Amino acid sequence: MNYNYKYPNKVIIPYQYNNDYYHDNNFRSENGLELYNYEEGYKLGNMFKSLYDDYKSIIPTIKVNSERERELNEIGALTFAAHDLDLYLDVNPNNREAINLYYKFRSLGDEKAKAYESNYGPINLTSNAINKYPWSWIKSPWPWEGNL
Amino acid sequence: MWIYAKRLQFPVNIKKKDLAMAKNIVTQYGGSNGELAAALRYLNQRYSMPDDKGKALLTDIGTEELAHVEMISTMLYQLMRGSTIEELKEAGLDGHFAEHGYGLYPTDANGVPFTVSYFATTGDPVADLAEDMAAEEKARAVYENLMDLTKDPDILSPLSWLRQREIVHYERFKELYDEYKNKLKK
Repeated sequence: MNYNYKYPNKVIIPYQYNNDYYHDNNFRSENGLELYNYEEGYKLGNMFKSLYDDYKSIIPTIKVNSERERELNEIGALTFAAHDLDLYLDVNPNNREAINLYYKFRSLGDEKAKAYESNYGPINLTSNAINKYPWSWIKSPWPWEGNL
Repeated sequence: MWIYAKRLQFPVNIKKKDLAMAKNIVTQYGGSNGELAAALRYLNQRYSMPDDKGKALLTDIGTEELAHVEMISTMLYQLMRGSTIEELKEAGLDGHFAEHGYGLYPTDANGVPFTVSYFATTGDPVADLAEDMAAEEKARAVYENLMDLTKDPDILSPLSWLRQREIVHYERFKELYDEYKNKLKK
């Protein structure tokens, strides 16, 4: 490991740790990730059972008032499950199981997004649903307005 | 670089106006322990991270904090939606109205505007990650304070969800902090 923690003679040398983490002896080997299913994890805001901690037993609720909302929440849940695994993988890149799960959630989320977009218009500027006249991206409701 | 999805990370549907609560919740918009400070902190610190893990984690969490800024803004928007001048005056928000109308503005709960001095970069990954861990704990504590201040489930839901995210973020920063700290000892 070739780095300087102190700055001798006021010469600044940037840190460069070894990026060869694939052979890192310290990587965490999990016996198996203890995860919530994606709906439960989304509601709680945490996919990882060992990290979950509530405050005064208050648990978030998701009230669904329309089919549109239900479909959007499904996309949200799958995307969130993938995202929480992404953060885990950023520090634990060697976990094959987590990578497979990330991909599974992300793919399913993309699929559901496509179906939603064909009914309700684009969620992403990169989606094919954008190809409509007139320009549909601008259409309300915008996310902060609610009232789906 | 940023692209966005036209949806909130977690739904916010507040049916009942609550100007007093809006005055409190704004601290997580422009306050010292809020989401904007967090987003800027991490997205700024990422440039002096020493390896792939640091660069990725700080970028990913910094991006998520921008999504949380959006959620807090949404809560403020919905809590104040449809309020009359009389209601604003009664809630002590006439000063806010004078300066910003029905618009949003990043301040803390006492109206002190956001400042970049709420976060730091030392360029030292261990110090920066230690700050990040502290920031997440402070945000968690503030969410708990905010949860103590209301009984409305529409408000408690996103607040407790955002609190949970702080707990997860803390854990990821801690893992990276421990790893970098160990590497320095060799």
